[in-house]
Amino acid sequence: MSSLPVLVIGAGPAGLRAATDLAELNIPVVLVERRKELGGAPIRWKYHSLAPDFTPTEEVLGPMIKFCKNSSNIEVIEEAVVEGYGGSAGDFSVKIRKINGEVQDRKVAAIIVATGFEHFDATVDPRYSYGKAPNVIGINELEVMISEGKVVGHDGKIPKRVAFIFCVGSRDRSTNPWCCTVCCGVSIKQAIELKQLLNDVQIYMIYMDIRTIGLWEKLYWDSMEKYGINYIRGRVGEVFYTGEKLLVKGEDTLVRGPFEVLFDMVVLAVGIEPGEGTKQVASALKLKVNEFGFLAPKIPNIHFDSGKEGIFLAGTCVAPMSVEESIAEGSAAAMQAAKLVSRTKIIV
Amino acid sequence: MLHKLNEDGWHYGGLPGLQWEAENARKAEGGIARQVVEELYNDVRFEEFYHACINCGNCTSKCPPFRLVDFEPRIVVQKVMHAKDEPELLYQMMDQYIWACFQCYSCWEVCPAHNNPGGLVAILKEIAVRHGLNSAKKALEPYSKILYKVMTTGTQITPDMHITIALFKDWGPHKAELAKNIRAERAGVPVETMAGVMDKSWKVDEGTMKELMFIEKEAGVFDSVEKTLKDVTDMVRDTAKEAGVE
Amino acid sequence: MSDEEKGKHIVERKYVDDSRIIEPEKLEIGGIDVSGHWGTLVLPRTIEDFDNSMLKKVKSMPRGKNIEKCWQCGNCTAICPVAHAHPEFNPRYLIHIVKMGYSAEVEKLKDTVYFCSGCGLCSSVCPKGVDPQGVMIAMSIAFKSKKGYR
Repeated sequence: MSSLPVLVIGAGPAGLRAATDLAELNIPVVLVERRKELGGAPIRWKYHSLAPDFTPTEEVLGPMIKFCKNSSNIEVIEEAVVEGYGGSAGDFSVKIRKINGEVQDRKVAAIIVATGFEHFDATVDPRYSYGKAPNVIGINELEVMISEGKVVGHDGKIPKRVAFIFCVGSRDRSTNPWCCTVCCGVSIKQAIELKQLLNDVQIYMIYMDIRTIGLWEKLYWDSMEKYGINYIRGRVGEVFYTGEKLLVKGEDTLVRGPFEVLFDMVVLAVGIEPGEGTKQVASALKLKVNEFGFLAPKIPNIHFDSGKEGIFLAGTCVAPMSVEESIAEGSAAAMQAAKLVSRTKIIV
Repeated sequence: MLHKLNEDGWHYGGLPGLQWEAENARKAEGGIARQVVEELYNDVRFEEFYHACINCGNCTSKCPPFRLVDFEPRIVVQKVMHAKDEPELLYQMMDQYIWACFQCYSCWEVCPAHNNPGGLVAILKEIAVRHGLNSAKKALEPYSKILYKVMTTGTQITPDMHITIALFKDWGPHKAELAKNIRAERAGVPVETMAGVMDKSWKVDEGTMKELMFIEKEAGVFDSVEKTLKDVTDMVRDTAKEAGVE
Repeated sequence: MSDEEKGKHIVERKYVDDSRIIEPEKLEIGGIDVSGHWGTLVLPRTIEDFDNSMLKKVKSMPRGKNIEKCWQCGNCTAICPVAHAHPEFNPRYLIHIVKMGYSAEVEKLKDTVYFCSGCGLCSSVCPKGVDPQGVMIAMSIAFKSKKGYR
């Protein structure tokens, strides 16, 4: 067995899975995480459950986090980023800088990049009054509220009418032109949870297209058939705070009618965009970035192949995707790294 | 289903506004309708103003005329999008529909695909004027005095800036009558909308006028509006001659 | 004042519903008659509320209980033989406006529900099992039993 470890950058679903798989193959791993806790986006934003089956986040990520913390094959370096690299596949030397300034140089055989995403910052798009009007929140904030079992407005009142606005910061040339693929499913999941939590709440989903791909479609059907959640086809032009409630202006394109309806709470389905971590790692490892700012694989259909030998990609740093896909990609990248490690062993 | 629209009036969704639209569309002359589409597609601005429409309705939700009348920028873009197959529908829309738009471009600002419905309407209006379509004549008739003033001086006037009311005939059938009591009637209009209208007038330098008319002549403005605004163009040409431009 | 004469000064008159034009017969300011042109007011056609009372009524009826499953695909209207001949009757649209509670629109179109011949083609093609034919029956009863929304 080669004595050199594999470097995994990012401890989200993809990174954790990659580290776990490699460690189980008896390959040593150095797991570098920018933040203080393991788990990535689902832990950072306190996801209550995961679409489509309301699986508690803990159930999906808990075992991997526990394994990574306890495994003797995995060295976890928290609050640290990778700053530079040299060498070639099988014999990289990387520079890891901790937040407290401490720098260490390490030798690694392969690098797996799984730096993940950030939620779109809705203050960028002024039409939704996010950050200006109270009770306009993002799905990430609602997820925290649902986790805590208490959904209330800024004044502590329980909302009676809630609007979900889809495609905020997605599919828009002014902000991000791509589809984030998961926000439809996540918003519908939250709407159902909200309905279960507050029984007499009226929920309206204002959508452009519903993209509950694959088996997630069940969420969409159930939300209508079992929970009576209403769908309005149209896009919102303006959210306006009247001093008491939120006035949502839009068009019902199925009716060709304008609507201006008051809501107690507006939830923005903020999209996925490549985060700071992805930008930082792209410059540190000199990786190719595509027109949208995500890391560009050599062939768009083969996500793990970064185009540089020995560096593999996984998860939402490549393209928007769901947690289950991220986990699968983590495994795929781990497989590639394991192949490389076993090859170098033979050469050595 | 689409071809049915042209042959025997397939109606989208049976909504009231669209039924007579489809009926009218069938009455349109095919030749001119196709020519309008051709001109629209070949306009230099077309590529910038039109990409593709996914029917999200964001433009409409911001549109001021949409609050009051049945005008939707979304429908404009949709018809432009389908104009190749259904030129009659686009042509028919130029009759009245597009004249509700006053080019505030709110739609442009919010469109996720960066289409510009207001700009497309502007191009369509220009085409209507160039061809001297009845709709353009009808829509612009009440404003010929303003257009004359704008074309010769680059600015406009209000009825009370003149000494006699006789001049206001071509402002439209009711304007001469209105001018009599215009101040009292304006008292009935919200004050802020009339700010700066009643107490200000503009004096334009002769050299500026000359320059303006020269530019208009060279740019082909006179020729392009001639078919719709015959009288106005003649008057402007006379003025231009007097000023020594033509 | 008859409906045709109303709002004759409005340029895009054809695009404005009669019911949304307010034109006082007599308006005087400072002893001068300013009725007609200046006094004309066009009401905004904005929907300002979702009124769920009609939906509740339709849902409570045995054949209308599936209305909530509708996702507006338009299969029912596409196959409806009546809608082809009388486009003002549109099952998809009726279901949508009742579901959303657009009371003014329901008020305007409620009589078209009786165009339904009850052939049941719509129910046979509906991908979500809404049973539009049954919903039309439920609606026709609901509209009849309650005059208007309020």
